[in-house]
Amino acid sequence: MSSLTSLDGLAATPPRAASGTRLAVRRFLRNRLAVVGLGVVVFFVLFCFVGPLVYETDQTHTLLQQVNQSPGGAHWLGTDAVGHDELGRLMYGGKVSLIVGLSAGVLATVIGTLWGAAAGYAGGWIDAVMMRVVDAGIAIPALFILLVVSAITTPDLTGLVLILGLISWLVPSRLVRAETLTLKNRDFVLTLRAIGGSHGRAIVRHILPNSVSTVIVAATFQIADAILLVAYVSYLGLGVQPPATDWGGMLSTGMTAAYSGHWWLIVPPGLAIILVVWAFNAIGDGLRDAFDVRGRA
Amino acid sequence: MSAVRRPAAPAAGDHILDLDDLGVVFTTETGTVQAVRGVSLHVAPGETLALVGESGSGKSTVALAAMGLLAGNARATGRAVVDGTDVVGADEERLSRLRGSTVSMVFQEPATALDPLTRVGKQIAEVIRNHHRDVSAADAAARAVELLRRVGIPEPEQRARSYPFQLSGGQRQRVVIAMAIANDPALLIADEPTTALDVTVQAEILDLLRRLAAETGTGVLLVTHNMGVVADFADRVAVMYQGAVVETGPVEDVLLRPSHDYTKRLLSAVPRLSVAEPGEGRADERDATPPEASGAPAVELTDVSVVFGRGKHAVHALKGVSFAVHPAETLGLVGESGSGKSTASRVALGLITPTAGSVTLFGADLARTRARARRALRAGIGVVLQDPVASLDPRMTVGECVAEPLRVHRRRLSGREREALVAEVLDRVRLPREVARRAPRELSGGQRQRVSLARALVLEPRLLVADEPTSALDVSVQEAVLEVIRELQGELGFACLFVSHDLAVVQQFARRVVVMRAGRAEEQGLTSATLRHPETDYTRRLLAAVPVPDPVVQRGRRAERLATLAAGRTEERA
Repeated sequence: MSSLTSLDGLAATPPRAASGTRLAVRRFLRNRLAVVGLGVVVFFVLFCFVGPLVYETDQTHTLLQQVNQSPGGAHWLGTDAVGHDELGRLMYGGKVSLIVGLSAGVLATVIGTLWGAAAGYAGGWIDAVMMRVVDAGIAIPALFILLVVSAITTPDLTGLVLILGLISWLVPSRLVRAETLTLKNRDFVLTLRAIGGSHGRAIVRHILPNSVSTVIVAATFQIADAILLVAYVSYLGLGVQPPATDWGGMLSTGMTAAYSGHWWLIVPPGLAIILVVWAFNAIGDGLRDAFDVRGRA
Repeated sequence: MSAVRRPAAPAAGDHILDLDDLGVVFTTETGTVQAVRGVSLHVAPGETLALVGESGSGKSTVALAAMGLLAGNARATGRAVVDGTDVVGADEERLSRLRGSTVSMVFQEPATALDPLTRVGKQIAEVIRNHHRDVSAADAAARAVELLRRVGIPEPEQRARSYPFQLSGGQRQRVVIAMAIANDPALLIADEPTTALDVTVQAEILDLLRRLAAETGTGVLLVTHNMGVVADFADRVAVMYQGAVVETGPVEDVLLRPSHDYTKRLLSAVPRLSVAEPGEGRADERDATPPEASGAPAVELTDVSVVFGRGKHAVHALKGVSFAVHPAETLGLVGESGSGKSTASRVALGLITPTAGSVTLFGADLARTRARARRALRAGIGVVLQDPVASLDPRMTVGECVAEPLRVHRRRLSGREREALVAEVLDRVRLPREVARRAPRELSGGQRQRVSLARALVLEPRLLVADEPTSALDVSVQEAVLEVIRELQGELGFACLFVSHDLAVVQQFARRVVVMRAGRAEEQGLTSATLRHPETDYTRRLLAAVPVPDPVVQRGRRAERLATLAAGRTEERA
């Protein structure tokens, strides 16, 4: 519609179009599941980080006088085999799950973005070599690598984030490479090259900002995957070590009590994992609608 | 199976298409848009009505509404009667019976109109069998071959077994037309049927459509922005502006004696190819020296060849091309698609390294300069590319886009100095300074091209390379953009390499011209000489194929062109 004014107002600027951000927000809000997902994530963040200030519990000492209590009374969700309040522990463990999941997801996306952009922009044999590395990495199951690494060392929190980040950047790197391939031949990049602009400038100022929507969508899916991976690793007893814990670890200790009928040690952390992972996936879907990005890898 | 032939003479009340107070409203995320309002038109059998207007005028929407093919977010009001059936509000079943048999459509892009995985003969046969279940597969296939012959495809038996990618663009459009006429439609709707094609191919396709319409008495609704095509093909013209029809009438009246102000302005903005009067001698002899032969040319290509790929699949994009652009002059680079004109401009920009030959930029041989020196040389180049949408980074503001060359080449500037320079250059291209804070997508196509121009000029370059800078723009906007370039060239004295497929624009804009063909410079010289009295057959054919927006002149040109072609053919045979 823009050229309706073509013959008349050559110098007149057309009225401001509705801003892209506002449109994107509107599209996101139209996806109900995504909005619910956002609500779930906000709830769990408040629950894990603000919750302990309101609902104070002792999560370090063994309290033998109150082990294996069923829900009710002073302990809303009961207590576990060493007397830790389960609700408090859900907050305490959730902190670890969310921090590790978020950091690992973001780290994976950052590595993947830089790798993919570099490969796509360079092209030729550099691209071929870099992407064959990715193919080889994807061919090895992530869980396998995790098990081997965890068997060699017992990682701390930072270590866990690094390991998870370093094994899950492969998928985002493919996405960003594909995006870069189309962007690097766009006229605004060609124009920059023609007047002597550097490769670095083309990547940092043009290609990365224009693939930001792809990257953000990829990041949400990466976070969901990372939270799930942390749960796997901890469930297998290779994650953070006691007395610290996370949802996967709680599930693992709870399972030993499954035959005693202590359901409150299994259901809450299990549900928390399912809900948060689903919520991040729903947010990712909503963002994809909002940004109009094509599907995952 | 052929439908009942309608009489070719239009009788009142016997219209094949009747639009009555047609309106179309689109519901979008940002509100509703009235794209078409109160359009009343009719097409009689055997008649061609051209619907013209600039982009956004609603002409394509009218065509789609007549087919009942509007998008889901569109609502049509009024009446659109095709052969007695009102398309507005008709159910899908009636529409699909109508489409492909009574009315059919030819779209702009032949590459996407065909299924790439099905042989073309089969695609045509399918269209026949869709509406005539009783026709056997073998009969349909035979009829498909017959149709290919009718649309002028050589060796139709073999070609029917080809896949679309094995055909040229013009042949693909012929196949699309064959599909459109497969069931002898009473109405053919053609939406920019030749816009994606080269001029010589366009002339052939127009000849074909005209012949088919005359043979079968089919009514044609031709949607186009090209006044030359209108003059060549249409009986009557309807001019659309902002969703409404502002003027309707016989083609001679509308194009030669327009009554509405908008039509007058539109026609005056159309660049006209000036053609030599018969018997007129070559005005000035070949004088290829620059206006003031002072100093070295801004850019000079000497015997440049470019080969992409190697071995059997090597593509020779340029074969020994030489030309030079001198300070303060404009060199036009013309040719059809695939002629190598864009490759040549990219070689001049240093984006493509020639396989053989040398490129000299401001007197320095590009192959022998070091990277740093080459970067400094490039500060003297400005670039404007074709696509107004793709050439500005959507994530940047207009101000950032324009300031980018400053950030690359003059890093010492403070933010305030940069802003001042950007404001100054925006003044020069006659954009208000406030646009610096806007996003590119908030601007119209013409404004965006002027932003591109501002970015190209902010370093006050000695050479401007413009690759089809106005091809994506409406004629009126094109005129304004070209005017700005011409004025600034007068002020700043830069050399300009102007790449275009539009001979009329080049004729008005460039002092000298190079005609490219299949990677070679076919002919070069002063525009006034080369484009009026060409020396090679190819340039002559190219010029003859350009339709001029004057129906009387165009009729003469067409007859002349066809006679030349026929003469050529008999000569070959003899």
